[in-house]
Amino acid sequence: MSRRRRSWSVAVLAVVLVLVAAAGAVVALTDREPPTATERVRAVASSLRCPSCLGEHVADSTSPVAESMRLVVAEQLDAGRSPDQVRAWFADAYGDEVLLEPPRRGAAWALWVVPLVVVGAAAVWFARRRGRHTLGTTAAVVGVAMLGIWWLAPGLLPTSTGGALTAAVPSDAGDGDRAGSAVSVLRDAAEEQPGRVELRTALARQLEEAGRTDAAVPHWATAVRLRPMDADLRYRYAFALARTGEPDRAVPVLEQTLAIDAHHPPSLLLLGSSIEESDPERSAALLERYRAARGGAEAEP
Amino acid sequence: MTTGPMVTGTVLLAVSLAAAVVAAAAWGAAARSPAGPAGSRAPDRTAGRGARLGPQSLVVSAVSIAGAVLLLEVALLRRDVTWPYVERVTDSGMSAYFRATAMWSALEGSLLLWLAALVTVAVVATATTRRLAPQDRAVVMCVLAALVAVFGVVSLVASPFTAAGGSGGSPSPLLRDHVAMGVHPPLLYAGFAALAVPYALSVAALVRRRLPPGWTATTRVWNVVAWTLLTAGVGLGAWWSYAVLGWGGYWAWDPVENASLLPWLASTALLHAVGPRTRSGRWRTWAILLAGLGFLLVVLAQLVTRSGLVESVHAFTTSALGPVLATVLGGLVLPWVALLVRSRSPADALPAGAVGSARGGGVRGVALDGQRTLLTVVLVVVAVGTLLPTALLLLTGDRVSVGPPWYQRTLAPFALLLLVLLAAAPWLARNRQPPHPLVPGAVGAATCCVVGITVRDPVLAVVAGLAAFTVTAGVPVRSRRGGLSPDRHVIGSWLAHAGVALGAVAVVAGSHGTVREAVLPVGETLASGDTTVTLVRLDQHDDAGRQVAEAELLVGQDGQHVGTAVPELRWYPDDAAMLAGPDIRSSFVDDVYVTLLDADPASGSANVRLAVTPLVGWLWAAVSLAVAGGLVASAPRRGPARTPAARTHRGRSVHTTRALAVLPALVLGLVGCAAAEDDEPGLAPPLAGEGLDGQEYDVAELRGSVVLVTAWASWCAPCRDEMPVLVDAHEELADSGLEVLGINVRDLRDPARQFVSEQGLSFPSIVDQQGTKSVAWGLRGVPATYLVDREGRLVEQHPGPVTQEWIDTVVEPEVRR
Repeated sequence: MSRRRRSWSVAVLAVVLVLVAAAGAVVALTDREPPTATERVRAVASSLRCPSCLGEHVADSTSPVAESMRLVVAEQLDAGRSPDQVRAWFADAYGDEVLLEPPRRGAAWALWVVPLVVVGAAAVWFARRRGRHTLGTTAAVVGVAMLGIWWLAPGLLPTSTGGALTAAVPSDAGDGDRAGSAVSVLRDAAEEQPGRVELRTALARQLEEAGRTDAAVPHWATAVRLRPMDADLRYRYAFALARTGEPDRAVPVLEQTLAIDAHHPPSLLLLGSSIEESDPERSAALLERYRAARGGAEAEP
Repeated sequence: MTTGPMVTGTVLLAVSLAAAVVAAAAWGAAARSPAGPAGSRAPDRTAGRGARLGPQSLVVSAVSIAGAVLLLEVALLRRDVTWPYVERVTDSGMSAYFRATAMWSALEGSLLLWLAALVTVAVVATATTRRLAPQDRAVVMCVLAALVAVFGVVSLVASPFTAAGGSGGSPSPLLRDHVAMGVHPPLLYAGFAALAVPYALSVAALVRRRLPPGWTATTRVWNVVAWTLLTAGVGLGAWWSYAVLGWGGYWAWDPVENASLLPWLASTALLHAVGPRTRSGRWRTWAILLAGLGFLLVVLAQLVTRSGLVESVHAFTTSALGPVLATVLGGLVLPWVALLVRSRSPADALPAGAVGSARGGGVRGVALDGQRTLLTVVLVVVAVGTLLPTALLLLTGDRVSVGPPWYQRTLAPFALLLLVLLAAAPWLARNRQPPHPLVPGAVGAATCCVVGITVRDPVLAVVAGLAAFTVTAGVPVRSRRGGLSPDRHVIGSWLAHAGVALGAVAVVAGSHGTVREAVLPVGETLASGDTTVTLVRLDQHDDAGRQVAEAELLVGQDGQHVGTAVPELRWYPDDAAMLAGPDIRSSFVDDVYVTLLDADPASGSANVRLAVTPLVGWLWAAVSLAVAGGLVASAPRRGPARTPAARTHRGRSVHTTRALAVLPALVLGLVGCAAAEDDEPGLAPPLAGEGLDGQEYDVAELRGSVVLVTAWASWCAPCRDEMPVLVDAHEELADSGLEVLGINVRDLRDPARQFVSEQGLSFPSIVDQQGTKSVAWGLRGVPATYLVDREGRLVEQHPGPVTQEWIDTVVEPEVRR
């Protein structure tokens, strides 16, 4: 291979590599997903200092003030204000010290100017040391100027009105989807540890919330089998049976519940209303006991 | 009360101080005594005597300090409560490990630990500076002994043997909650102390006005050791912050964290000035400056941490030690700067390398100098962010916050440039066959492309591409032509560079994390992206004087059950401190970080935070790689080290020093000129809504009256105390035109109404259940009171309970105006 052809192929290869790398960056640059509402709130909140804590920002702090501030950030972003406007609003209320990126005014100005002066001095020193290369000096000047724009421009530009931004904010992950995946996680876990009542009840609850009470019934049954003396569990089992159209099966469960805890109010109520037609007399007695138990419970505190 | 061992401890400290002074004097005499030609290895009699007396005294000093440490440790392990210090830092429930490490959990003991680290370094240095000529070595040892003496004085001023008990009670639960806190300070101190040797060497070079033979190799070895220890120490600190504090991050840009980063940056830059393959450009000047700077920053870090000068979570409590440490810092900086000035400009009198070498360095020299400049600029920027807010507070009284957004904006450009130079490192190293750029180029381009398309983050794509390039390009391979196997320096630097590159990827990728927070009843699910956690159990138990709430959550990913998280919340009733025990499930791709923020086992609900952060594990791997690189590179080299020839050189005068001297003046001028904010009171924020009595109120309707707006809640005890004052003021001044309007913040209606009737509040209160209305008023915490004048302007605010004095001096004049 001749020398010339070789250098050609190297050049072509280099260009191809640069193009491949650039392609990725360009795709990333142009096809970015817009942040969700939660992400936008978090981004603004994490640039605000929690006024009642030491060295924490509003997004991470658990203090009550920070919680209220997060709500305000969400409210204002929802109302279509831009992040910069929200920050300016907080600076009005709490003073500039609430901004974790100091503003380009007042004493805080020094925090932007001092580093720029240092960098400028370093660049001048660096360029001079290298002799009289105009190229180097020009590069240094351009570099420092670009840095100056990057550091100082956000304070000099007027804050934009954030109206356009709100149009395309995707909502957070759908709730239905989340419930579905939580159910499958719980089911996996319940299969792995069949003896854990907590897992069974959590699974049954999530199934009920997803509107699948029929699927929840066997899990309530297992939970009751695992912890037979738990009146609340028994009641939930009976309730699920009653809702799926099997009140006949619910009745013996409730009878046993009352054998364990004769004054369990929800069981009294459910059993009383279940047997209203078949045994009105006992039903009335049960409902009376329910009212007594409720009244007693309310009088207590 | 003072006991025998305590007196012994003080005596031991005094003996060590005296011995260190003697050692410094002996070495000082040895350094000054006229010897033969420089570099001669035949010392005369005086020097010989000095050379004997010096090490002996230093060993005496070291033994005394070891004795003092031992005394204190024995007292701590036996928990001898007759010692006020022991009583302060330990409590009866502590295990032996935490009692032993409690030595450095308070100011005085940690100073003793620091002294022990320093004297150990000095003793080791006597044995490892033999490459230097005896005269030069005497200067180095004189400086080290003097440092031991200076910190000996500091340790006597704040001694654990004479310290008072203090009112602090038992030590912070944070320090006895995790094993890493016992290891972190000694590691960091060892690294800090090791930087003392480069400082001493820097002084020696400035005194001799040249780089003595053996200087570079000695500096390099000590610096690599210091760098390795510091990397491990800083990394461990970040890991502790991540794994224990429960806020989900690892670096908060807190002043104390930054203070430990500054010496690390100086050490890193020095590494690239004295490394055998980076001696190019003006490396000699850089080496002398950076070697001195590292230890000066260590002392600065001590000042920042121990003086209460800056606000930080990690700082020791405010102590009177500030002036002492400031004097020490001054005492170290001034002579060093004086020596620098004596040689006009370091580049002038010091052998800045033959001009030919600087020019001959060509592109490589420019790049290496540029890299040192960049690291130093990063150092200065971090120092500005750490110290300038405090300086501004003292100078102008204005509070300025500097947080992660500022550091991101200021440091990002330099970080990117440094990454580019990192990628170019194999082509910048001397004495090495550079690799062919094709393979690394292809790997880098492919990584950039793939990451860009899959993650859609251009910054991450570029950083990942550069990192992939760096890792591939630096792979130490057997040279094809020479058949030489790569030496340890090459392997070490590749490991460290790979660590830095991976760390950069991890840091940038970390911004893609998601955080969700919710109050979950048992059985409910919180989702963040594809990850779900379902609360299945919540209970509380007592454990050795603390209450532990424990939650069990099922972790699911894409609907698959992947494991169980058991975060804890530990409540220390004695200290009224709540510590989080986050549960972290690390995987190759991301960390699932579950924190229990609040737990109410009675009602079966918990406030849970779920954070999913990508590639956090890579960061710890990166730190380990860097430490491994440091260990490999610090292993002794086979064969004698080549020492560069010493040359004196007087070059052309450069006005840099003068130009740099103008800087502080310029900065001060700018600060002075910065327009002060006009303190003209602005209009009061809006406040309108339903009152506790069900009627609508609006502060704007009260225009024309002076209005006191007071934020209160029924759960706030100080509010109870201030109410009579407010009620009296209202009754007294109502006729003169004073209105009072309450904001009932984050409260429940029933207790709030009860509060109103109990306190006999004569004024209405607007309900602000979520606290959002009071945020507009800049509320930091209840109680707080605001004064609005007749024109509706917010003229005064009073945080905390209102006093009669405030009413008399501020409110009444405004009403009667």
